[in-house]
Amino acid sequence: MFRRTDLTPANRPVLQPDEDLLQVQESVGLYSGKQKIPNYQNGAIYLTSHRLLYISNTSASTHNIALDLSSIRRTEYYAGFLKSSPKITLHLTAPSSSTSDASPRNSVSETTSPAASSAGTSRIGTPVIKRQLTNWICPICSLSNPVPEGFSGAARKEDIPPCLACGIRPDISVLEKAIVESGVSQLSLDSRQGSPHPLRSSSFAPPPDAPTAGSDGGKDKGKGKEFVVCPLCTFHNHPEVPTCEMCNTALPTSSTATAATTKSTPSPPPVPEEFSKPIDILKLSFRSGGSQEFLTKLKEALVQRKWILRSAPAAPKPNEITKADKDRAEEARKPVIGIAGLERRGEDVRKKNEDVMGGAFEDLEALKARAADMMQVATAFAAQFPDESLPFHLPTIPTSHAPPPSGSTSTAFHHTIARQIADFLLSPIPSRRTYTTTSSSNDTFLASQGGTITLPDLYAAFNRSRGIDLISPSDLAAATALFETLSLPVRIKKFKRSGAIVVRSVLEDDEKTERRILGFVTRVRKAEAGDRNWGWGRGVTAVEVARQFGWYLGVAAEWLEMCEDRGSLCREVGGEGVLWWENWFGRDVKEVPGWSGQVVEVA
Amino acid sequence: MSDPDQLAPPSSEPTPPTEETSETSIYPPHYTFPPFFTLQPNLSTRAHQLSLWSTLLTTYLRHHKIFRLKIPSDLSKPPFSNPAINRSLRLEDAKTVLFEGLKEAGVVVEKVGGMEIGVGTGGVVQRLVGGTKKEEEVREMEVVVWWKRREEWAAEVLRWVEESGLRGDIVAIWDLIHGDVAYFTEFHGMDIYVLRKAIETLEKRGKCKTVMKGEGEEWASVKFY
Repeated sequence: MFRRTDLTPANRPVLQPDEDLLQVQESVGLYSGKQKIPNYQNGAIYLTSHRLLYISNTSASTHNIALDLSSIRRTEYYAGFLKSSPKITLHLTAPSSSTSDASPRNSVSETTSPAASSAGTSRIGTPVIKRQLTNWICPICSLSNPVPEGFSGAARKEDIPPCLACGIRPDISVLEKAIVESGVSQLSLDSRQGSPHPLRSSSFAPPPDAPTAGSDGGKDKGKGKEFVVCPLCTFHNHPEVPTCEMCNTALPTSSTATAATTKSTPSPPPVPEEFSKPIDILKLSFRSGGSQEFLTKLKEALVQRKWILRSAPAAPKPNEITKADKDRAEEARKPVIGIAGLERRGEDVRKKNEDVMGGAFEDLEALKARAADMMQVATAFAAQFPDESLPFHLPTIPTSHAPPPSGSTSTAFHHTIARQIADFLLSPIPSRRTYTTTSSSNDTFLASQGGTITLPDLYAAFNRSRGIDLISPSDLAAATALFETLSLPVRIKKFKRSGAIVVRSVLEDDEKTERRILGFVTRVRKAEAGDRNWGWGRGVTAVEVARQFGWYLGVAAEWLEMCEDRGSLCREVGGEGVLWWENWFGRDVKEVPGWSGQVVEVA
Repeated sequence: MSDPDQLAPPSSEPTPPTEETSETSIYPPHYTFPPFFTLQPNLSTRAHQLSLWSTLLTTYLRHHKIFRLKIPSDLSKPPFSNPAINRSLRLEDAKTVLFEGLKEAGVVVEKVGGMEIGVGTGGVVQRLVGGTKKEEEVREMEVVVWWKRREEWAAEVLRWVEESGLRGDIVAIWDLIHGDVAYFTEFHGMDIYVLRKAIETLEKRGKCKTVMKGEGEEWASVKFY
């Protein structure tokens, strides 16, 4: 049911090929039942055609979670009241083999042996349930509130949970008393059962398909029917009910046991601790609006049930072979050499492409199904006719990943754009050629631009890769300003003199750029020292530096001036323009390379 | 600027008792560094540059016994330019070096002749003529560079007077500058204006008195006490 999601460098979720992003909402918190889930209170929720993804703003890599839409049974909406935010309540079905097959990844956990899973259950399940069973009675309104998990008696006053009905924090003694009492009642219950841990731990031990194991103390067996006895009020509940119908206490049901079993098995991306236990009711709290739109989109997605398509067979390929084709195939098999052979081969390729394209354009569904084939053909064409007008190959972005801007969600839109830009700059270029003179690690678009790209260039390249659904310059400016807030791996730098803004990697700071430039200037000096200028070598021009690092001239000039500001370079303004030298002012004479005590003859 | 070769002591003569300067040590290594002739925009780099320049200027002027500089004509000659590498300071930069650089180094640059000129006016001065501002081109301006402070010169003269046993005697200023008696002193061949100022300092301290005024400053005589 719950799973971790993979993240892009920009902390956006990695979507599966046929998955579409439908809606993004920032500032969302998660509740399990009525309890806030710690560390999942400030984040973005992504609704895709297949999943709900939650990514925390503060620590995206550790706190993210994905939920298959297939496991949502129904939704409820709460519009919010005064300080209470609007919430969407999701009633989740307990995962079984029939509901969780939306994703192939789950198959690993389902095929694990019952023995292994029950071992995991008894480890994880026991303390969780024990806590949930402890309730305290509010002294003001006498509501029975659950004691939060992990609650310790030594907590501060602020840590005491307020009453769910009246919001008053009780005295610590009330809680302590409740905990002690529940311990006593459990003990007495245990002693009645006559086994040390019969109630909770053993009730999970048997696999769900064999519930008749000897020690399931909490369950009564009727005629073909099981009841679950409430541990608090001893009411016999229906086995499917998650909480006691009398006193609303969480029940140790067989379905939750199954969920725990499934989740506790080790699987490659481990589920975060907060979601390792079964959650029946998940609430999304929308702290900065957008709940209505989200609910609409969610309902649409739930109606469309796109995840079912994934298991559907692909559209049939038009591979009925006609008689003429057969003949041609026969002919093709004959060894044909020379020019005729080349022509024949060319014709075959053309024919094949014609089939692929003709079939693909017949209708859109078929096009989708044959997208991979189309890509191959397109790539082959591109290889055949190298397009010299394109200065570089751009990474492509699926445009459907950005919802269009609308008044209330424009911040979320900019967040999305900012993350997309980061992805765009840092994802590898699908390119055969590189167009810059430098050869070092040109695997990303940003690197191909010398690690620095101006906003106008970024704007052009980014929009070109989007193709349609272009963004406006102001959107780009707003999005780039968010890099730091979203802790993306790119940063903007504003040049002092021109005020121009460039984007560069977070790993690249002024110092590193300075070191690179200085290294180049020193190399030039050493290579051309000789007798020139009394051994001082020569200065470099901004053009040389731009060419060396693959920068634009303006960018190179700005970096050089930055080096000057930092004191590592100095300038010579002459008839040939500005030449840049290492800064030898204020250094010891012995360090000065060219000085050998020559007498300067002055007329 | 007067021809330095004329004033430099012949090489066969024993070296003067003051600090020794040879041709090689006049110029800092940076004198061949091309950016040396571009005023650096970075303030800390510029501070280093200006201090190198003021050292070069004072050493050069002292070596060649140059007291006066004409602006702007002298600012295109060495040391403000280096023909060997074909670089020279722009006039504006040369003025900055002369006025700001030397001021930083504690050397007084005193205007003694020509018209008022400021740093950065580019040889053009604004003055009020009949209520309207008029820009006039300034042809020439003369400054004295006090590469030795006035008190130092005064002490130098006084020491020489005592060493030569001339205390109580009357000495003509012409003799101090051109006469054989003071041939090996540093003030031999010095600027009359500078020497006059030094003697005025001594007069204030009661060490000497101008006893005879001639037709020109050079013909005055001074009695030392």
